[in-house]
Amino acid sequence: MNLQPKENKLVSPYFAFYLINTMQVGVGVLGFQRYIAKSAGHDAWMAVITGGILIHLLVWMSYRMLKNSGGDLVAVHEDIAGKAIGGALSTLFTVYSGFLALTVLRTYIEVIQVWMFPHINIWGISLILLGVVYYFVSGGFRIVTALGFFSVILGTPLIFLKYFAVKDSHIYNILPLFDHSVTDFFVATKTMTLNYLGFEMLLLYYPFIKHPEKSEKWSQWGVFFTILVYTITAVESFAYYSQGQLKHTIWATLTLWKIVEFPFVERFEYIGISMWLFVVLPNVCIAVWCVTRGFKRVYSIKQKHTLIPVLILIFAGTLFFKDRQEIDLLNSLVSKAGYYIIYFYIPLLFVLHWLVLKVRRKKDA
Amino acid sequence: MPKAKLMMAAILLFLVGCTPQKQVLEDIQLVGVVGYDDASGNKIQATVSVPTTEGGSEQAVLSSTTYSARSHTSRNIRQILQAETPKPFASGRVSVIIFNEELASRGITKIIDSLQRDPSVGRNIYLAVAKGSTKDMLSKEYPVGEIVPAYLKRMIEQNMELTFPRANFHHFNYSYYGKGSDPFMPLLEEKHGHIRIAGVALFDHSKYVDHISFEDSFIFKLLYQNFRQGSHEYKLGKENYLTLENLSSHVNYDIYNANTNPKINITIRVTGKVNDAAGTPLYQEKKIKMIEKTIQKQTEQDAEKMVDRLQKKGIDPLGLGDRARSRARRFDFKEWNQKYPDIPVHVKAKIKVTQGGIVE
Repeated sequence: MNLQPKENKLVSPYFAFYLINTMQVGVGVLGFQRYIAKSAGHDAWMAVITGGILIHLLVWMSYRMLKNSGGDLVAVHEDIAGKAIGGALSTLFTVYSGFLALTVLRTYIEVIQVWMFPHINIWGISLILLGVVYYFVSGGFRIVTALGFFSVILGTPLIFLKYFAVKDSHIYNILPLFDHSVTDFFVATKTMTLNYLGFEMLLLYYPFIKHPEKSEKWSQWGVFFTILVYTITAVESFAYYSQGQLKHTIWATLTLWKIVEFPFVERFEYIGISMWLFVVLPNVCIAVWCVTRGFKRVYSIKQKHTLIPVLILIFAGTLFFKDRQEIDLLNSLVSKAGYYIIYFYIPLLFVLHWLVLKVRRKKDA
Repeated sequence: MPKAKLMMAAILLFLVGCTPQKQVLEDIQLVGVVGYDDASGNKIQATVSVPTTEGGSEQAVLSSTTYSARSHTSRNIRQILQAETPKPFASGRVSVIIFNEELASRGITKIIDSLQRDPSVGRNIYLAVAKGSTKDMLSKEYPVGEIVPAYLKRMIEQNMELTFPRANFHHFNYSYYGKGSDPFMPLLEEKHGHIRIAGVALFDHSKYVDHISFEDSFIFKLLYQNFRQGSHEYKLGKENYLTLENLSSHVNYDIYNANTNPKINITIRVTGKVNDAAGTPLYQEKKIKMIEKTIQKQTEQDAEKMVDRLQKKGIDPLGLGDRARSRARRFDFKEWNQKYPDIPVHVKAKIKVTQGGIVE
């Protein structure tokens, strides 16, 4: 099978910025504050930065690996473990991508349920959203990328809404700095990285970037922009809420939007939640696209043939997880899987791949 | 393939019918104010004030009407109220929530919890305590050119721009759930056919325990936040009085040894103008210095007296504990709370009078 897609299916290197950023900013940013504050309290905003730096490092590792393999994660797996085991590993990663899509979709539907329409049929809204996902993903990677681009353009201005909370904030809330132990800090960093999940999809769509080696700086800028968004959100939330209050607030960012006042709209959070669909949709689309791409690379099944079954499985999944506890469980399971993938699996692959190539080069010489 | 696409389009089209219940503005009643009263047997009584229009679209007259009912939970009250109204209630535009004095002094935890959970209740709404029954307050008509919900909201809003410290539902939650500060809200009373702010109602966590008079709310605001408006009357000499109009005021807290042997210095810097000094010549440098000194002394005295009173009551609406936490590592709230009533607090005021109006 030809590794390199045709040129008319590629996207320009600078789109890596949007692809990385849109995948990292999703439902997590609506309520990550209380989770990181649980361990490191008012110091947790620093964990946002340290977590981000680790992501920079992981993106660097991924690029080294991908450049040398001349393809994607599936090629790396084959280099290291051969066709059979490599294929199995790639399948696992694909399944993980599917769960990532499910988690994002289900969590967003929960937000709609709790905040806007408590009477909504889950299957109804899920079917509509997955219909839209089908429409984008069947259009191919370029369409999905375009969606990611618009998501960043539309979602980023929402960060300026923090301005409305500034007059009710006490910046002294985040003082004194370094008031928590290193262990607390480490736990918060670990929790925070779960919000940075999504960049690892790069391992599958890498060949679809034109001159992929040129896209590295864009990817790193994408990560940097994500860190910026999360840091601003965290600092402002910690200044606006007291720590005790934060403990009770499930969606701190959404609750913060409640203070927003415009002459023409009394309650902004409803508009915010609706706009957030554009932020969430590319997350689902890119992850679903990666699932179909993974199956194509491993089993040579055409992407349009796997798309419908994958969407049906995700649809079934949204019906399976019913209440807050179950959705929380889904979230923590997927985050745990993501945690092991980015902190143990990617560095391990990086080292192994480097060794394998070194040995091979010696043999050739 | 076209067939499949057609199917998709058809499915999406049919799903349009699956929308959740619609809320058309004409078909609902937007509650403007909710008042909670104490009722016998562990019950509470809620009164809602709803704007209504009478007459056709040509000469519609805006007025407000009230409904009230009693029950154990506020959600159930809503259900009971629904039984006597033409249209369903919607709580998305509640702007003021009032608690009766007796109810507030027994604690408002249950009501606050229910309000917290409701996503349709905003955070920029005002909470207030009322002297007397809120039902009476809300069901009367006031000759102010506004219906009751708009009247209450605007009155509180504009006073918070002036001499009253800023306090909305978010501030309440901040202190209620956080450690090291206690909530406060406006205290309302009905007098001479109007509703007026009688002072600052102070809470000990969820219980209303004390209040500061409206005249002193300026001093409280000086201590609580930086602001740019409001005015206060000072005594000058034996018979004379003057009014200082605040142009800008800044407050600064210095907290020493927060963990061991705390000591607090509060510095207030006020730049203001004196327009109303009843005969005191305002163009002499010496006179102005004298005025500044008098104002400074009185502010310091009043502020220290106020802080002392708060400490004796064991409440902390100024958030001293919260501020102390930010100055010390490994801060222990339990220890702080024990020491709190006896912590020495000094207030230093720096007053600058810049203008005396347009004549000399």
